[in-house]
Amino acid sequence: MRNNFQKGFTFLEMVIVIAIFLLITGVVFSIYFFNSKVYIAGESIAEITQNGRVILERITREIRQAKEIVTDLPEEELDPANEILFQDGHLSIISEQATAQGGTSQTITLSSSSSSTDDYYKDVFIKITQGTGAGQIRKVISYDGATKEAEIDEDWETIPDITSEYKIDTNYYYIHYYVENSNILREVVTYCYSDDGVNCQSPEMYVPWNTSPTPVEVVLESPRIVGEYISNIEFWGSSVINIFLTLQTQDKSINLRTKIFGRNL
Amino acid sequence: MKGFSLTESIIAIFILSLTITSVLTVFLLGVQIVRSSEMATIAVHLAEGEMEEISAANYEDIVSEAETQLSSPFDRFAREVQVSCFDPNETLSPDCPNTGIKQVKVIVSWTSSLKMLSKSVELTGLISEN
Repeated sequence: MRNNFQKGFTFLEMVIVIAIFLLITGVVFSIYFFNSKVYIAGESIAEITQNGRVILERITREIRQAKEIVTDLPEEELDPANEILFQDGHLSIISEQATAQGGTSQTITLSSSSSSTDDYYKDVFIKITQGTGAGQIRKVISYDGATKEAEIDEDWETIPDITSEYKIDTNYYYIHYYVENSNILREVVTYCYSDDGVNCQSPEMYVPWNTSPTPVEVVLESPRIVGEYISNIEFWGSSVINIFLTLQTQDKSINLRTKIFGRNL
Repeated sequence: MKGFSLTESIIAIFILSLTITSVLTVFLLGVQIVRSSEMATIAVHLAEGEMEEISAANYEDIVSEAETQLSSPFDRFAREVQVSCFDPNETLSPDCPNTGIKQVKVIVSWTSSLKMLSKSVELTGLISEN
């Protein structure tokens, strides 16, 4: 006979409880997975948008000031170029050759006759042509006019000393943007005459790319990654240059297009 | 009598579904915001490009353009150019004599995907005759 004081759950109650529990767990988990999917999607879009902005910002600024576009760009979008090479127009013309007063791993002290204006040599390339550490090229990132000390972007392999002769020639810097393994790379090159095809002849004179006889191309700044996730880049147009950029990550992609009017072209 | 009545359970389920829906909407809103900033980035670059093209043109050729839809893959965007004479003090007559400076407004607009709202970015610049 049934006991009126029976405690515990019936089988039916247990089944209902478990069913409700599973239902709630399922809902909570699906919300969680949905949330993380949404988060990842949002992150990918933000990432490619940001990359696109940075790349275009940088390229447009440099092309706007460019002195000459070397790459042959078509008028129409039909057969666009996928890379661009142009002459840098951001620097004032400096051409100096002198002997250093010394250096540390991150600096070089220029000759006493160098400019006394702070940051006068900022962003120029300096090459050690003779003496200790000859052959090295570095970019100046800051310059102190009082001490003549120039800070460089990358440590010297051989630290220059009082025997080191250097050359600064900003006349023909060319900037090259191209795509490799879905990264966009930027390198700075110049042209000069060479005996061995690698190093410039003394006295380290840079010439335009189209001088005759044909000069050799030398790298001033090795390629550096400016942006990622590139699936396509196109350049076309003459005085107003069109840039079309497609960035892609996973299943998200973005197309960006802008135009630049080269002020010095 | 113990247990819930039908009305009570209906109300409980209603509140529960309301809560879940609002939580999910918040997530979707996040995506929507990212999307809209993506669209705005594209639009700003299109507008900047147009502004560059205008600054490259002859002064006489800088005129208003009616709103036109752009070609693929930017067919969700429309572009309009408004050119007026520059009048900082607003003292000139409405027919606007040549002041030697044109005020150019580039408007790129698009329809936001989820709410069917019309959005736009607007760039304003001044271009002088010489």
